[in-house]
Amino acid sequence: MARKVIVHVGAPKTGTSFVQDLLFGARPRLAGMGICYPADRFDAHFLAALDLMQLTWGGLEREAGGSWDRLAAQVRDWPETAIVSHEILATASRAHVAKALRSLSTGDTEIHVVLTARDLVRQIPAEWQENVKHRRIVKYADFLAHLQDPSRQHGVASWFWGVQEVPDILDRWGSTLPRERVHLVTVPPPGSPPDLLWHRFAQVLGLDPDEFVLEDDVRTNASLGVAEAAVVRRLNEQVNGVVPNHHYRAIVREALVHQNLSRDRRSARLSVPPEVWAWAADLSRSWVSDLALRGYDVVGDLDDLLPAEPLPWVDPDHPDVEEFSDTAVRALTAMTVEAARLRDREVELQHDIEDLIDKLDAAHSTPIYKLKQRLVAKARTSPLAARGLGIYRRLRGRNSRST
Amino acid sequence: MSPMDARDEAAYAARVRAWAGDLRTGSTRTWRDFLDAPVTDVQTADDGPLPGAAQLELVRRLAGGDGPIPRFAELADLVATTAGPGRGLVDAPLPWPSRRTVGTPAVEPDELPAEELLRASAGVLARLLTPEAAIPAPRRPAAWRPWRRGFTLLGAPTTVELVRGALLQRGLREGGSRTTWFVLGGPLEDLMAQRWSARVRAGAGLRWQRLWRTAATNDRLPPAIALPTIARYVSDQFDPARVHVVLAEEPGQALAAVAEVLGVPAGTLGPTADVLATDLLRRVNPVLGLAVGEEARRRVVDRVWPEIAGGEPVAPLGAPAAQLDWAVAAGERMADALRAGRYAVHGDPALVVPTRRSDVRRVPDPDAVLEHALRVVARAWQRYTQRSTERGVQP
Repeated sequence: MARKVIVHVGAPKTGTSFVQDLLFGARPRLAGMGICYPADRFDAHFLAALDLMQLTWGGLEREAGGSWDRLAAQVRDWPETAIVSHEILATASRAHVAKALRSLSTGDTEIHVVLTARDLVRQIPAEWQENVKHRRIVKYADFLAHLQDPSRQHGVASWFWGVQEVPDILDRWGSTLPRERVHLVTVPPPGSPPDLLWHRFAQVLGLDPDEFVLEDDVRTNASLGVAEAAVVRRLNEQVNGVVPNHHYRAIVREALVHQNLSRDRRSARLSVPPEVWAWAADLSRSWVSDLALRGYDVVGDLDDLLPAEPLPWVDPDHPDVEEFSDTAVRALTAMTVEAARLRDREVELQHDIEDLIDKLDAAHSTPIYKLKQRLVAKARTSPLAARGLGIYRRLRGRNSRST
Repeated sequence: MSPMDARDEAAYAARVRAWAGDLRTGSTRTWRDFLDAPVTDVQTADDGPLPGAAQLELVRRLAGGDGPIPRFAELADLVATTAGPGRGLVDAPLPWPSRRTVGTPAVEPDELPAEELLRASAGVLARLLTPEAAIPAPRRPAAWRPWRRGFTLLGAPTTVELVRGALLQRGLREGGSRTTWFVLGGPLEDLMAQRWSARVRAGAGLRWQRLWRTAATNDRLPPAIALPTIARYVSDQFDPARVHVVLAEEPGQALAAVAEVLGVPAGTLGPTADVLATDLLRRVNPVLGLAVGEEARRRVVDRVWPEIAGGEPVAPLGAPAAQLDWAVAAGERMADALRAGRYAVHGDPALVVPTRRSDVRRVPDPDAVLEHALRVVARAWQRYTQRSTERGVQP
């Protein structure tokens, strides 16, 4: 049997985190079925994608060096089916795609590309929200204007279309593959059974979806509402330049957004204004017509990519003042609770430090140690003593400079 | 304009490859002119993915650079096959009589924003510098010369590095129990530029504007260039009579003042990498870091970057307009604190205060950075081909 490699390339906001968590958690079982999901940490494929596309990501790229080559080597070494999955792969250029496919193949490899896609009208606010969660401060109206600018030269637009323009992503990833090995999995419309997307995805992988229990703790990117997104965007304006990325990730994105605001959305869902809905619906229809002629393996229904009826439009750039202030107080409460938790942890660590200092003091109270301390102090003012100390340290041949 | 079909796609691909072939001969014809010219047989480089507008335009600009580049066709091939790293337009295509319905819209290559060409340049530079990571850093064991006068330099990072090198060359020793402490500084905007350069060389992808915004938001200068704080600390810890703050407009003046205190001849200093080189390096860093790892990146930058990226000095950058008021206030505070110190100050403390001139650039100019990038790519290529020849391999 030929080796098979399935490359799931996105798109963002289509349930990819959910699929990746499930695959990561099920690695041993999958391996028993001849399927390899090569990852020693949950974000291994994210780092590999950063490495492949030479992308920066708030400093995380420093952990990514060499990770694509390592991932590709693991895939090549696996004799049966291997899966690679990350949504940012959607924006890979043709040169990066060529490198990726070359590195995953051993000659007799059957490469399949999978793209999960959702209708554009739901993707637009979801991507803006993702921007806000990544400390961007762009207002929604500006974001929408950038998307509609035909030149796409603003960074927001080039990224959005890079990861969301379904026909172009499939062109870039699938143009060298037989059509039947390019799989387009559509995200079911709102109101569909929650496990339907997994059933569709499992079909591409050749798995029985019911064999895998969907656990409650797999990551899902819950949505922010209008007021919640507005508060986080305004917060970004204040903390950018003050709070470094690693603290922002832990405090704002994780503690505030994921643990609090998105679990308790109380304001209206983010949507698009009517004229943007009409524009996106036109574009979606043209994509669906184009995709219908391409002969890809569509899992689901291409009509899933057409927008549902518009949601009521509430402008996040001008949120209701009362809702905004309520949300801001909820955010402040969450941050206060988080600060108290960290303060408790600090006190605990302080106790640990005091214990260690007591132990060090006991070790330093010996006469020999005191004599050494006096000699080291003398070396600071006496060149002769400094020279003697230098000779002693060289003879001792150790790195420690404590005595 | 009709939509592009499969025949159009093939004709387009052939024409793009033909232009790539034309460019690799050193031609500077634009895509517009090339399309207008009669079709001729040109040797094409490759049948891999089609190069994008940014790659081809970069080749064209390199061909039109300051002087001839050896083995230009090979450099052109390398540029054309190097994907643009990071974020930006995905595979920007070239204009064609029929219209694409999806993908990045076509763009005239010579109208691409400088940022796109800089992105392509960063990828090329990272590729050219990657083999340098295999070369180990030279070890320079410090000679023990207790009879020589000792010095310790703190403050403005680039000035410290240059003056330090000059003094070590003159046989002076660094540190020691009777060292003389020098805190080197100059105009606040130059101090910030030197701090920016040091942070970028250390691996940060930091923008000039961001450095200022952070300092102003925190109302605090970066500790490494907070001259009064440094000088007060060493004065408190050691003998204030051995602490000298040296304020100078440029590193050569600082060296002269330091040399006078130490009683040695001053001499001259080499050129330094400027704001253009720093703004270029911040784009190259993440790509090179991914390719060779952070430790090797640092080594390569320390060893190779000054050689390939040093250039004719350009006018220094001023504080960004949004932070200018804060900069002036911070400079005045620094000048007052230096005047009140218990240590010797060489130079006028008023020198540190920024002036509100209108004829100064307050953010790096991407077009100027791009022009510099073309020179740096050419120099890096020369170095790359020399190394390849020495090792007896094809570049």
